[in-house]
Amino acid sequence: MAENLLEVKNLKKYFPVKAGVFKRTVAHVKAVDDISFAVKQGETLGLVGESGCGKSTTGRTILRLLEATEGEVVFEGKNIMELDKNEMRAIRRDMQIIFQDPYASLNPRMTVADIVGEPIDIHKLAKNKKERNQKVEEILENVGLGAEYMNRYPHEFSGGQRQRIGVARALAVDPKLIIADEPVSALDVSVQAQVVNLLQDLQQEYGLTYLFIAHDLSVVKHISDRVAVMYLGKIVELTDKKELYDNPLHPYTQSLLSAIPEADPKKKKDRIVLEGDVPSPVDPPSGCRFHPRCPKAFDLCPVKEPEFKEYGDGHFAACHLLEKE
Amino acid sequence: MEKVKKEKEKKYLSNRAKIWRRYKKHKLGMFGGLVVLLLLVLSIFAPFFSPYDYTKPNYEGAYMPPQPLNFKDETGKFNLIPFTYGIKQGMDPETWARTFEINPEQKYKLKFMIRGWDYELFGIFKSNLHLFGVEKGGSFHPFGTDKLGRDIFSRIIFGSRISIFIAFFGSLLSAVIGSLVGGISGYFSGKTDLFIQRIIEMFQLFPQLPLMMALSAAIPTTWPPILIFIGIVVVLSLIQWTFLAREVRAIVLSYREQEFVKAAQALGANHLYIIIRHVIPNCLSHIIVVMTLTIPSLILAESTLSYLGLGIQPPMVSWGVLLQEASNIQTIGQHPWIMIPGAFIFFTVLSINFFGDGVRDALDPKSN
Amino acid sequence: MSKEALVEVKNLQTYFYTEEGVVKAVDGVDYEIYPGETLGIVGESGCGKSVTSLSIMRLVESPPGKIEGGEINFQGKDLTKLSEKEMRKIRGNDISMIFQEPMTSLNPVYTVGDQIIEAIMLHKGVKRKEARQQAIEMLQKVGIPLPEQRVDEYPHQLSGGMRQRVMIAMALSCDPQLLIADEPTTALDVTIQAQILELMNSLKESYGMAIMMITHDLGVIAEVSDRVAVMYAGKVVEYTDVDSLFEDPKHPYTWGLMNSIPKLDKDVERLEAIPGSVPSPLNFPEGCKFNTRCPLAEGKCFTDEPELIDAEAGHKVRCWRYKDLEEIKARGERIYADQGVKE
Repeated sequence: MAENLLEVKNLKKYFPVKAGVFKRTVAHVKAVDDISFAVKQGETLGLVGESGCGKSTTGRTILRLLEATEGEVVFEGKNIMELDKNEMRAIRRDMQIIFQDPYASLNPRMTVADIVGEPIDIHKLAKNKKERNQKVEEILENVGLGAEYMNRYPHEFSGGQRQRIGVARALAVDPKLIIADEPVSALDVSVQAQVVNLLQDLQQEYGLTYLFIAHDLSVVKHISDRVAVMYLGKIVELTDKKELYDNPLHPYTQSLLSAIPEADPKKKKDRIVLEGDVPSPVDPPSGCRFHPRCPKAFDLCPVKEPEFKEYGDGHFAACHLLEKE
Repeated sequence: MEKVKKEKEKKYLSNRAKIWRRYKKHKLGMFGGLVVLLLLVLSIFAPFFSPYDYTKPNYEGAYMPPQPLNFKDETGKFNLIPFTYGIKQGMDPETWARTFEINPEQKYKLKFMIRGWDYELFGIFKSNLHLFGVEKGGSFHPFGTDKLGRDIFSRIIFGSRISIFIAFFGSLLSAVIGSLVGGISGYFSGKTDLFIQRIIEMFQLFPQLPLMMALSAAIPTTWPPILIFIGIVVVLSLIQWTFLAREVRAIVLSYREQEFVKAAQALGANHLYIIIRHVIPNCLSHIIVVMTLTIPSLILAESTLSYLGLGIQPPMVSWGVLLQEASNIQTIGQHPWIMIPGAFIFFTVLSINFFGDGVRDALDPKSN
Repeated sequence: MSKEALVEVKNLQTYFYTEEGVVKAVDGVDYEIYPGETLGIVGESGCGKSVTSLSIMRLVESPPGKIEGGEINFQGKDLTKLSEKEMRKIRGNDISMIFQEPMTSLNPVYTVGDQIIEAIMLHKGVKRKEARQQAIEMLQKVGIPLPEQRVDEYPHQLSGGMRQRVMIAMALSCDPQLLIADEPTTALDVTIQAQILELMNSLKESYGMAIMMITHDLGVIAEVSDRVAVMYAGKVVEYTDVDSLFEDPKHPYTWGLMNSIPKLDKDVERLEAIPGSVPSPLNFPEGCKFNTRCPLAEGKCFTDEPELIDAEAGHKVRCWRYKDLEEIKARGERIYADQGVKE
């Protein structure tokens, strides 16, 4: 069994809600509320959930782009939450991020060579400009863009090409872990597949480990080895992708799977349509956070929070129904 | 397949070409830009464009009204080269006011590239070449003369030098201070931001005019002109920087949250690197626009100060100094042409505003 | 389909005159919508799917946009020739529309009730009190809990899903014959999307109206449409009923789209990606507009634009080589075979 490259332990991220003249904190948005999971060396862990469930915050907190409220993030045996500035800088070479919006994530005033070369400059990985540009050329080639694009600006590219540039920038430091934060959701359908294929190819070539964050369960299922489902700041289910699809344990996962419209008109699904909306993370429901929308909720659910436990080989879930059985 | 390749080669306009094209579409901006350009050339090469030495008094010809250029002479004959008539001075027997009468006998042709009074351009190039003037013996004062007989046209041109450059350096200095303070405030936000914003509010709480007057009154009039010049620049920018700081803060605040800044953080870049590589280049165009739009208000501020006698001191001239001479209602009544500098202020302020609007629309890709 | 079409779009051309040149957003589009059916229009960004719907509503911003040619026949009238005043009578009354972002289409300073009531009063000419009653009924019909209270709330007090329900209530308040839905669920979460699609399907049955569903999501299309028009670069490239489209896609673009999305119930090693990206509308290629990305493109494809022809009865396709594609499919081969990472 592969070793854990990344371990997240009891991670919490609360955003203060401030009000009044003196900007006093009146409440907290519990974006990520006590989650734990591990990513194994060389695998892709999918993190899926609806908007506001805290999946992107999780990714950014792991990279310390946001400071965690509580919890540990252990990368290669080191708790990176305790690292100082310089140690953190060094470790950023090993952990990279790809963003959702290929328009906002590239500086419009920099050329492709400068964007992709930026990590090389910051970490002083090249002796001179010539060496740097050589490296940039190599990386661009690897993500399917020719060297002739080096001196162009981001606005001259299509969304898919921009996302390739974003991937190239992340690759430039030769990272071990890449956190892909909705890397294909802003792209056209026909281009999504290109980027997904590219990410898979690069994983093989460079031996990368991915934390793949997305709201689209079908894309996550395609690319991931294991999938974690988040709801309102909590992970409700975590298992391998085949198991998740064949045998979803949590009622939320079940309804999520049945809600996805499938490109097959012959297949009229028996759909579990959830009532109501996702509640506000400022004041989440008591007990199990899913209970107000859960079709199977019973008296225990609003009272007690279910534990995140293992049910069968590597299949984790948090639901009272399972405990009852 | 050859053909496909060719079609794939899209035509891309460079960013600069796009900005220029958008600017060209802005008619008023184009006009304003041309006027600004003209004014800049006029003020930089002021001595070349001035037919007379702006400091040299001519007691004989005080308060001479503007002299027209004539094409037709008294017989109605058309001359290709325009000329001015000689002036005969007289006295109104009733009011004892000085009168200027045309002497049709004397005609002085207008000449270009004429030799006239000696000057030093930028303190280096000695010359006596002027754009235009009339033949020896005659005089040509297109805007008339002032109470000491000095050519108002030449004085306006030299005045524009001071007025425009004070405004330009003033807005440059306030842009530097404002960007620095506003940039820090926006980039670090939080408590730093809260603190800086309160300070800015304190500055803005003071009524502007008295503050400006108090500050400039502190500049000793005995200082050499260049120091007074710098002093006024500092006073103006001390008043103006807060507005720029506010704008820059807002811009920086919006860029700080951009994903490319987050990406640089994820790469391990430090604050200084992010500010220099990512934030400033993106804010620069905004700052230039804000700066351009500040210049007109500084021209007005300088004029106000000088008009009140607190700004530029004679013998230096600025448009405000020139207007100060027109502060007496009786003088204006008798010699309305000394108001002409006011018209220059008006058109300059208007033109720079148009220019600024054009630049803003051109730099803002969303206006496309 | 022997029924008479409710809307008949013939050779519609909507162009935008921009600084950089003429954008032929919609360039010769034909389709019909029959009473009571759902026509799905599917395509990627920039294919002109939204512009066709705005053209029907005559809401194309002008300038820079202009309907340059073609007809839109609705109830014996050509909508392209109507005056603005006549058009206003049709909008919201006979044809209404819902948009992707319900927040921007609702006025934030009025309560949702006010906005529905105003629409009802305007089009039905009833008194305010009666209109309010009808508004509450409408909110109830679109599944908003406690409609008597919600009617007095402001848009920002509602969630995204609720707002889209309000938009639907408003659109349906005057019993339109055609509802145009422009990506109505794109901004919503999957579980909410399922609610809205369910709602639209049930309302369609009870109201008997026709729906024009515009989306980029083939899943949504499969779920709600009766017939589908696939658009690419301002043209319809395939046009047929939903079952034959998904069973037997005849255009290489449709085929590519279907195989490029991952399926929940099928595990594949690699997705079949269509290479390249959508050409810029300022720079469409000569011949078939898909030739820059099509693996089958050859000779004629680069010089002559194919017509939308009947490949089978009721199954139209715009491709020179659809018969070759047929053979490839019969052999069980893939046309978007592994291209590596190259563009």
